[in-house]
Amino acid sequence: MNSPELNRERWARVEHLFDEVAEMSPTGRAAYLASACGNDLELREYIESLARSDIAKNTIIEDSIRGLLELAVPDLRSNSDVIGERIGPYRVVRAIGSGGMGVVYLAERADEQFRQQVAIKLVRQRLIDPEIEQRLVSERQILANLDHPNIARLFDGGTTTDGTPYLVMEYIDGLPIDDYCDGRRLSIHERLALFRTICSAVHYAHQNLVVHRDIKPTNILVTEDGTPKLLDFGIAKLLDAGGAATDGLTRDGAVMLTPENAAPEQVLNGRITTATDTYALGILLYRLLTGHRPCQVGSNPREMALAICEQIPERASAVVTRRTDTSDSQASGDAPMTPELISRYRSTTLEKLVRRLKGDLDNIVQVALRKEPARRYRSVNEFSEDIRMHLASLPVLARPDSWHYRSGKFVRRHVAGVAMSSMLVALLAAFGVAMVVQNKRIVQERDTAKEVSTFLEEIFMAPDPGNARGLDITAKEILAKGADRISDQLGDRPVIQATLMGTIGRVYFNLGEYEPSIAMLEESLRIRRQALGEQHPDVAAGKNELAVSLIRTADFERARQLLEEALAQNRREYGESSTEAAANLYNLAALHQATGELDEAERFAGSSIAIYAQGGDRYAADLAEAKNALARILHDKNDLDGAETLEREAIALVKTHLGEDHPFMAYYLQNLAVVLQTKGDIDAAEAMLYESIAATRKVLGEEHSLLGGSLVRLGTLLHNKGNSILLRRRFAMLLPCTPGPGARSIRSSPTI
Amino acid sequence: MAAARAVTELLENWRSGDKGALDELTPLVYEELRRLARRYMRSERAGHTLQATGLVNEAFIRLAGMDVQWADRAHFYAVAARSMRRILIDHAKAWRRDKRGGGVRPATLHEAGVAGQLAAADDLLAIDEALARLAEIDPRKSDVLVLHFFGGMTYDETAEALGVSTATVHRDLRLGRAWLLNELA
Repeated sequence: MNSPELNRERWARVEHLFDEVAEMSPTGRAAYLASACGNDLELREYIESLARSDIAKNTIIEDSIRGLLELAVPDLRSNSDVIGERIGPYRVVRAIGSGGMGVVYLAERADEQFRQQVAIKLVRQRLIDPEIEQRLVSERQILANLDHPNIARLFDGGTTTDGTPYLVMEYIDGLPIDDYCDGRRLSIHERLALFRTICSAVHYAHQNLVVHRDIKPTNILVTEDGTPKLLDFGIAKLLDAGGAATDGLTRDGAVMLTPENAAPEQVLNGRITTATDTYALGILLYRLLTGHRPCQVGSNPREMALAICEQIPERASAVVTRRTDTSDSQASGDAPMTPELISRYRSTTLEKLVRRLKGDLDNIVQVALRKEPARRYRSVNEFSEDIRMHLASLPVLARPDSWHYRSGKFVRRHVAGVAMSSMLVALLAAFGVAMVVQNKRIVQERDTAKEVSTFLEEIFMAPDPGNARGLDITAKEILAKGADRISDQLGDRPVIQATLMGTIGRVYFNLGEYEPSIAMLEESLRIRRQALGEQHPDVAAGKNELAVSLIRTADFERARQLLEEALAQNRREYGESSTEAAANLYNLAALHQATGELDEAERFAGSSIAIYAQGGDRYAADLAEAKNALARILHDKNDLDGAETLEREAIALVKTHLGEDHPFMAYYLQNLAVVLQTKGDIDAAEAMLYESIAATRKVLGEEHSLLGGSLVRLGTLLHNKGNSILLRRRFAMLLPCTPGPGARSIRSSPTI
Repeated sequence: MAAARAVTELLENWRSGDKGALDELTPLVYEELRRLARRYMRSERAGHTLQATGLVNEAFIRLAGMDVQWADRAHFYAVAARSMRRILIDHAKAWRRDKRGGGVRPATLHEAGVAGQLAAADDLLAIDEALARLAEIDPRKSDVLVLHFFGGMTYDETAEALGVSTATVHRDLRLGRAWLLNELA
């Protein structure tokens, strides 16, 4: 940006104008500046550019400062410095391990009064703010109070002369539990018994409100006499009264934990509870039983997060027959595993091993490894008890999962979390995948029952940002309860029941919960068919709604069939040019766009526009949506002039009929920016993006995922423009934008 | 701690109008910050984010201790923030000299093969130059930016340290930031 020559007087003028316009909308600002600056175009343009920089909120300055500091820190490993040094009354003998938090050394009491070997963990040098230091002290205190035969004792702690915090712990001369089990050729039975001892230690910690958070083989050493000891509460956390780990350090922990042992909620920065340890114990048990890891986590953070959150582990009894190839094992650092070797380590044959694992043990491990914390064992104790029941040949609690839960629902619900926690910009952009808004025309009110349902509908429709411009997180609970009540209590009034189910189905759709949405809409349609007959207009409306959800889950054939039936029905009932038919045509356009049949898509969208255009003001929103849809289709067909014209028409419609603060504005402005960018009109695209960012912030809020998409787009655009200094910040720019639940209620495509 | 006492006294003296106290205080703060920065630059690369503001904070605790009046703390931070700017700029310059063998700038910041470090150093120097330009026409805004970015100071602390209202700091920072970003874009 070339700034004009500034002297003090001119700067004072700049300051005054900037303060005046800082809080204005882009349009208001433009108007104000046009009159305030008069002919001074340079000044006007300069204030505009300052205002844009004000909006852009990038963190280039902070990043540069931090970046230099960080990059200046060389990759030195100076651990050996410590060997032979004294730390408190101890002399450091040698390093015995290192982890995310620090390095562990064997040390001896230096005064020789009595020989005592201890393990000293030097916490990595870190900047300590007084609050964190205070927490470290209290945490150390509480860990020191953990007194369990299978937990390594914490003796002492302090800070070295250069300020590095350290902990003094019981020195355990033993082997990691997996090596120990294999080395001793422990049978499955013996492994389970050993594992239960670990469970008792973890359960004890939980009872003392401590969650370990980093349970893995190298943190469980088994001594010569077979006693397992749980170590390294380095990133352990105290639980608060609600059972969640206190925050603050939780984030640190999530960063530092070992990926292959991470639970989904750790990857997603979710609530860390005792269930997190249950999951880690599940991984441990899986490895002890099978010699394999339940999840193959790649090195790339995106794959890693997806593997942890989505990959359902293979059954223990199946995985033992697998041979890891050399490249896999090299990647994971494990020795190559063959079924023969695994069986031999367990003092059995493959055939017997498979039989032994099948059934109970398969199920027990799967329950512990469930993606949703609430669906795992309720406590480590319950987990351990189930193993005891199994060992006693009694029925166990664990049951195989139903197909319903295997569909990655968890990750879909938390997909925003995945994106943010691992900076998955690609995933974030995927929110922009075309989503179709349904043009639901709820059938005319005909009886008093309708009034009741309308009333209820209003309550339920609140989570739709199109109505409420904001989302209450507890809405999902209301929904779930509402759905239950409707199923239970309205059985004798099927028409109302079906309408309300349809409403809930649509709200679920807007929340991105497609499975419950489809389930609800299916049920609603079924009830309508039964109560009203196949030919009833409400059945056609139900088909239309269901089709919209089906398109989202890529069930295109079923959606097409339903839409064609509904269209034929509506044409018969309401006429060729009815808005009911237009809604079907609109959705058929979306369907064909999704399947890449762009000519058909264009034809359908055009037909729906023709109908809505005749409908007057009442259908302005539908007309705008249809034009936006056609703009996207034309963009895909590379008819960019046509796309631009239609998008501008759609924007004008929203401005006139729905107001500038309507959520459609944010999307349409971004769509227009995309068209302009594709056309090569970069400056206009940039200006449009600033407008769209401002509109998104205002209408959808700081946390909406559309904002992330816009900022990424802006970053890319600036990069292409040659503003390279800003490029490296575009990921950082995403940071203030955490997609909230509203992120999935995208009404139309932000990316064309 | 003798040092802590000295620093606390210097801060109090300064607050009660002894301008000489600042001259004594600055080198103390500067040296402590440099020492801390060196230590971190030597130490193992940590998995956490290193913050200039963290260094300032730590220097404060080391030099002044915890038991210091809030107003003195703000003044200390202001000194530290300005020192931090100097330290980082010196470092960036030295770094660039080393890596480029005499400070020959490449044609563009992101020429193939130019390391991210160089870019970070260049960015910081660009920021520094821009701040210096701003100081010529509006010294206070420049100072507000320095305290904010290099010292991580809050609006209230900045207001206290500079003897202006919090609202002024708000406005200064908003425009100053937009101006700076504009200059860098």
